[in-house]
Amino acid sequence: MLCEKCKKNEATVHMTHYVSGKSVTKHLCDECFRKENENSPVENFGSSFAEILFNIKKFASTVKTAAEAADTADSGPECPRCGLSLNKLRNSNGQLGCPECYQTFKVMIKDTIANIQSGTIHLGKRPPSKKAVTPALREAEIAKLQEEIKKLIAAEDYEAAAVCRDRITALRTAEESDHDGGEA
Amino acid sequence: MIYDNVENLLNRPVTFLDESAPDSQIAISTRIRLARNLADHLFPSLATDDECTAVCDTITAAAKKTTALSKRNAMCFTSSELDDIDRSILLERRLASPEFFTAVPGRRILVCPQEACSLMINEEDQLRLQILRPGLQLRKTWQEINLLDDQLGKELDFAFDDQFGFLTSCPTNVGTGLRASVMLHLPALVLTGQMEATLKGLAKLRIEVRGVYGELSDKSGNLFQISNQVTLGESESRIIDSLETIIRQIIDSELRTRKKLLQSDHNALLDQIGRAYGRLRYCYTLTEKEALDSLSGLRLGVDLGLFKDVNIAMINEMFTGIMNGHLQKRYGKKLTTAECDIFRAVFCREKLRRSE
Repeated sequence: MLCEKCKKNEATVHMTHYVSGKSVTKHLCDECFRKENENSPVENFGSSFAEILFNIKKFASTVKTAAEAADTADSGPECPRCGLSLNKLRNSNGQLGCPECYQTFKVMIKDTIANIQSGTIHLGKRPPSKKAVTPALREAEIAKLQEEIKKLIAAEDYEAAAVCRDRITALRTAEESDHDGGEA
Repeated sequence: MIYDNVENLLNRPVTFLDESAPDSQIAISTRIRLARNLADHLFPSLATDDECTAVCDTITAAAKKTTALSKRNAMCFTSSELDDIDRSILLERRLASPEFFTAVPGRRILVCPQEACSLMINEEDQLRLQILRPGLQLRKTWQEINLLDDQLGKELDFAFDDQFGFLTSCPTNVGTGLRASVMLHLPALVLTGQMEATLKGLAKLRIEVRGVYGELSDKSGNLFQISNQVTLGESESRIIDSLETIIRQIIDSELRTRKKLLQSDHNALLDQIGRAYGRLRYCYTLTEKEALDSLSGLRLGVDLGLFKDVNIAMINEMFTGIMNGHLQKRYGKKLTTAECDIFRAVFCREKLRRSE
């Protein structure tokens, strides 16, 4: 395929952008790609990293359907605390804006985390200011997780069920869940 | 706490490389860092200048109450007050990351007197604490950093979520916020072409491998930083234990390969070591890569008992001494690359001559 800009060289770079609900693919040669990105190389690199990391394309399409239902042209949620939007996130270096972003973009982050981490639940230490899980709380949490496991198995999501099971094991080993790290 | 001159760092040996430590023949150093943010502030990438400065002051005040950083001679460096050479020195001593020196005010590094423990404020996350120890000491290093983190956690309200754990700017660090890395010297695995296979195997185990000074540098000197990728879904002790198991296997295979090489290619191996010594002792210009590779050869020679007058501590010190920033600071001026190569050769010649 020839570069669509100079129409001379072979196109070696194929970029897909997701702009307001439509995907646009560009086919460029090395030279034209470099020229096009000369002014904002960092931003362009960042965007591709964030897009890959968060799989924004997939997320944007689910959001878009929801947005269409609500009859808005908005391209996704915006964090109420720091104002980070999906578009800004796409152009970032893969960095969220504030602790609240974890709630705002939870669906997407959970997906990301499931891909890159060992599980979706923290099993490590807790800051001293956050109360340790009390026995009553622990029991309640275990009951909740057992319910969750039933649902997950019914949905044949065995991987997620295993994560819940591990979390229960961790909670049952009271020593570990309360003092893990402390006694390490 | 003193606002320090980088020069003061130079007059001290790099302590974390300097003592004889467990498994120090192959494992040069162990580093653990934790990423933390404050619950009531935006992450550095979106925070205003004023907010960054406020966060910096809050964290500095809390750090002064910790055992490690309360000492009178703890050091403090502010990013905006450092010139290029000073910045290189902090990078080369692994007290800062390259990202730390891009824009943003309120960036500060606090360093304990022996340099083993340091805090980096307002990099990608508001707080990155790290402990560096010589040799392979993952458990001990974890205990130390866990204590420091507890002490800081009493003063600071960390951003924490029951499901996701410690919240970090990038989800690749969320959960424990823990990255443990061990620097290994693996000349025999490289020489016999086994490193490629090892690297592939490690990637499958979600273990990351990088060169000497962070992500962008090449793999000169046969030095490799091996670290965990996963930060969520496993406890800190488990992350550390599985990393240690893997690292012990790599060390074993390096030692086995060295033994085999000594039997099968005795002369070829000694020749390489001898040439490495010759380059460091007699050359008049040395590029950074050449020097790193030669130091690697010399280190292997010392490990094998070939050089009685050279010790590991000295070679470890030379590994940082030959870096551009350290050379420029030592000779008191900004140098071109060609000049650096000349001064690097002078530095190595002198070091080895004095040890004869």
